Amino acid sequence: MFSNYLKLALRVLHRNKFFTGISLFGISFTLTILMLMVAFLHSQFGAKNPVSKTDDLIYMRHLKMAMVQNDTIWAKDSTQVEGIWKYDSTFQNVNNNTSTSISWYGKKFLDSYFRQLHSAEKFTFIVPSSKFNVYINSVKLDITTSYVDEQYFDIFDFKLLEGNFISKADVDQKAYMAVITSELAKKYFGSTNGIIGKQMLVDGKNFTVKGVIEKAKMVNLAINGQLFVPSSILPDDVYETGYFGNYMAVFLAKNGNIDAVKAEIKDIVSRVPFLDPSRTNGIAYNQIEAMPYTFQESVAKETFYMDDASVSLFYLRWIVFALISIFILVPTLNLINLNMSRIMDRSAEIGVRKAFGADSNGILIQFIFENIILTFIGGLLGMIFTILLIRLSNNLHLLGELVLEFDILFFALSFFITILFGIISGFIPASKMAKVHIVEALKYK
Amino acid sequence: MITLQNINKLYRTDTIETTALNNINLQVDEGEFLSIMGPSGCGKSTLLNIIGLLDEPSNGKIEIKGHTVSNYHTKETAKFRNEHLGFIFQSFHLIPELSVIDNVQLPLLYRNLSQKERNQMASVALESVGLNNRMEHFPSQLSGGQKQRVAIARAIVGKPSIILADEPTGNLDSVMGNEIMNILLQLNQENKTTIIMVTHDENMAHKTHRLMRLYDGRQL
Repeated sequence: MFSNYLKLALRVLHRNKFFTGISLFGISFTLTILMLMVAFLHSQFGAKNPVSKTDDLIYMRHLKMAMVQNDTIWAKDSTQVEGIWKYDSTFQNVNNNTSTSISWYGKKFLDSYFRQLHSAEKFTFIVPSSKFNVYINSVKLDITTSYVDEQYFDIFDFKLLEGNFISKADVDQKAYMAVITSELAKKYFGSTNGIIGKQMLVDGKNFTVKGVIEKAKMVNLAINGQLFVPSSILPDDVYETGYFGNYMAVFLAKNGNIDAVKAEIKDIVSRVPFLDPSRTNGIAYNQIEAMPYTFQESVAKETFYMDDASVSLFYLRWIVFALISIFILVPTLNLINLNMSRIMDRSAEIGVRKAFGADSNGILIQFIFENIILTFIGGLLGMIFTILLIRLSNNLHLLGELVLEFDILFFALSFFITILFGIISGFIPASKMAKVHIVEALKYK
Repeated sequence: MITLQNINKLYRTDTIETTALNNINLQVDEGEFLSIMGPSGCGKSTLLNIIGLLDEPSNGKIEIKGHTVSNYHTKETAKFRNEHLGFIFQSFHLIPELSVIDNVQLPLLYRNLSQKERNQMASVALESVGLNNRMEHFPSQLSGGQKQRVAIARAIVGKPSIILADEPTGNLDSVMGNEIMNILLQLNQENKTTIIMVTHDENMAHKTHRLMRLYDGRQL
């Protein structure tokens, strides 16, 4: 019987080319968007090299210092009582006279307060993403350099292709050693082979290549460098003004307890003394706030600019969830609508089938089966479109450093969802028509 | 073979009650060819639908081949129709996406038969209406008379003992109409199939064993 249904389904789809085209477009487009969204989320936020410990990491990128001053607003009222002017006055205390500065952390500030966190298993202080221009055979090369310490490569597990990572000895000796990405190696040396020990001239300094790593495939300031060198080669007070500087810190929470890290950072900052205004361009800062966030929280916070990162993340998650739901729901409703009119056209067929012995369940199964065939074809097209778009995005670097990955497990889930919406969008019209009285059904021509 | 006792059919809306059939009593014997005539709207098709278990009477009793089918549930009636009844419609009601042989096989889909058995039975049915050379054609490639012959093949493929035909020649010219009528007469004579046919055509009706006339839902 199912071979008959399949034959019929394919012929119906072939006959109603317009309907089939619209439906297939809707299904494949939906699935493509859905899978691209998830590929993006998975590639950007998923736990994989070099941030396989992403759930245990706390990033401290910015320090916020504010000067909050109380102010008084006076208001004077006047009114005439029995011809005589009476006066009244009110005042209000406000604390909105604020001067806020947000910047990266100073090295000294980090060294003084954040080297001994009990809740952190490891930490790294980084100067990320400094850009230098280098000319190789008269071709300009932009090199993104990150200044790191020996724990950096413990926290971020880059895939080492050759050589070694920056060691404690390199940091202690202020050695001009460099770990570079294979991409940079190809651009600079033309190859990744046999370059360990070779020299690179960057920013007027000669670095010895110590290791070659695979570059990070996601957008994250802490890991997006091409050249990694010891931070100890920088002067201690580089670009520092008060507590501000050019550093960020990343902490690996003990036993994954990121809340403990956040709490400890907050506690430490509450005890940090305020700086003398002479060191802060005359501004008497009286509030200091470190902003320790997970990677997802920092993205959410930059999206919504809300004070509370966890609330921002909550909103971001809901928006993503709502978008995914809308992308599923809208085409499903459309498909239900299309199916309704399509099945109405086949009313006489339903009547004939019932007259010759089909019961309502048989009719229901037949139409749902047809819809599954349709969504299955749409699903296959969606998969092909997704793979093509992911390749296009990765080859043309449409999303910058982010390399989208096609996750087969998620694809299976998406396919299941598609088939499910095929069933749902077929079920409603089919069950309605399956219940139509035979005589009524036969009246349609 | 078929007994209808005190069959009434009423259609109700919020404000109006219409009597489509009024106290119909009918006995049709095995192998009989009965035609039903009457003006439009007199209840002919309603009566045929009730006999064919496509519609339910408002009250009354239907007995077919000793079974009181008016008490049957939906699934039982579907099974009964599949095994004992065949239908021919005025507008053929062939499925345009299916080939002739697949259309003819349709009633067999609801029986536990293999594809091979279904093909074999459908070929025999098509041969009996002279269309075995059109098996792989589609309905759109056939003339009106050929379509109705396919519909007859579909009606007889499951070897039902009763065939109900609702104006089977209504959409055909006289030559094709006669051709279809001859096939029905042959079925009745050779296979002893009981046939009940609704028609507007006096000539066709007079070729059958018995003529029943309806007027305004009543038996004349």
